[in-house]
Amino acid sequence: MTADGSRDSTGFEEFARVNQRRLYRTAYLLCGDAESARDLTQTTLAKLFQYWHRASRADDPAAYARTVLTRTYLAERRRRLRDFLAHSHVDAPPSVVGPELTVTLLTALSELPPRARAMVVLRYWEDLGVQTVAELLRCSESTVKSQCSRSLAALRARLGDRHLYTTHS
Amino acid sequence: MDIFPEGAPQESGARLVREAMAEAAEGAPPLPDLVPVALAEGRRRRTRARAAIGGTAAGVVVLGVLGATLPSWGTGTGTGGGAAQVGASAVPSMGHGTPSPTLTTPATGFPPPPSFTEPPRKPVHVEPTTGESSMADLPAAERARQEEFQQKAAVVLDELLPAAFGTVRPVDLAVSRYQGGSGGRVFPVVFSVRPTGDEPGSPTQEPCWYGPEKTYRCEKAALPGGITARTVTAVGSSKGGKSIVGVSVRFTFKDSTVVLSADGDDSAVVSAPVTVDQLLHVARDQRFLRLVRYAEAFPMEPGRESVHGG
Repeated sequence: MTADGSRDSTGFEEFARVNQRRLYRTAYLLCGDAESARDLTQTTLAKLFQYWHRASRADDPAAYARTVLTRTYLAERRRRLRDFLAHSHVDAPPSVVGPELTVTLLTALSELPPRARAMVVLRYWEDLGVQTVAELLRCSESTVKSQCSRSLAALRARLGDRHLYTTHS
Repeated sequence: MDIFPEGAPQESGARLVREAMAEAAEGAPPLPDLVPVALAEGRRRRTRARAAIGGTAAGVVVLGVLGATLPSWGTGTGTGGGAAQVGASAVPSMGHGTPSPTLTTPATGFPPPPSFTEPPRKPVHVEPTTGESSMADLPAAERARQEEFQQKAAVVLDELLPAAFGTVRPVDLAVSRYQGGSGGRVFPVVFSVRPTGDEPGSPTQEPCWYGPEKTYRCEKAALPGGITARTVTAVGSSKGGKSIVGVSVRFTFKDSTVVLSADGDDSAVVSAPVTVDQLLHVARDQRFLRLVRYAEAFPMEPGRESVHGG
């Protein structure tokens, strides 16, 4: 990473190579399919490179990247909604593949609104605190708590039986 | 009082979700090295951003020079008169003066432009996402034609939409994209005239899809010329118990699908300040239909495609 914030791509490449896999996994949980996750990760990295002089100066560039990823995801969802309103031809989302628990989780996540989904992923996958999630999503801490509580209940209801089966059999 | 404490009762649920997420993330398909593509895309973004800044600066200089050298240009109708003339000359003419190359071929069906009494509206810049094209990618002549159309469409929409919508400006991402706004709020607008393409059937003749009554309403409405339009009122998203509602009108005009939609401000949690009836009023107006006729005769958008949801 370029400590002086120069536009040297070497520092960016080093950062991106180390962090792309982690970003991709978060994107996978947000998007629910590999193709969209790759696109989101790539867009995030491109935006980071565009503003690398700023990103490289951040206290925690990885957190900066996570913020870019989440906000890009939410912006993309808003754009899709506009397209839906405009053209209202929406193909079925790609079917989820993988082990049963993964399929159940990703299906349950897909039923959450985008912001609620982002909150859950940031809170329970990225292990961020309520305050950090609230700052990242520009909302109040009580909103994060209430949304996460509701989302967690919904996810638990979907995952519960499956989890008991896999852990106790 | 905190009615949603994150205490022990939730811990088992949180652990369950964490474990499931870890398993899902670990099982994600392999990732190719994205760095080279991201570098190329990032460089393109930098170039575009610089070009946008340069273009704005150049525009300011040109307007400044014109303003300085031609102080009495125009009819002098108030403060906007001179600026309106500069604006009209800065944008290639659609029907008078020097025609743009793509418009000269067939003169039939060439609609007269709506009256142009305002200065050009500075387009809103929206950065395209990966794989998305923008008007900046178009050949110069076609881009000029589409920008001119956008300017005229923005004026017509501005005149016909409710005042609460604020000033309507073009968005430089696509000819179909506009944006209204007032008081710091932003209301996205889509005005699209898209060739129906080879797909069988007309999309607007399909029956309404009925979603949950509280969040989605689809109805039919009559437009001039025996055209049947389909209107949709839909809740886009909800925050803090408030719903953000958007509206749209769709109809088929000759071989094109016409869509006019207005969306709410997601950040401000405000619905589009327009009803379906008000949007239909826009769609029935002859100034709007003139724009539709032009865009149908001289298409600016690619043929119909479906949109992936998810």
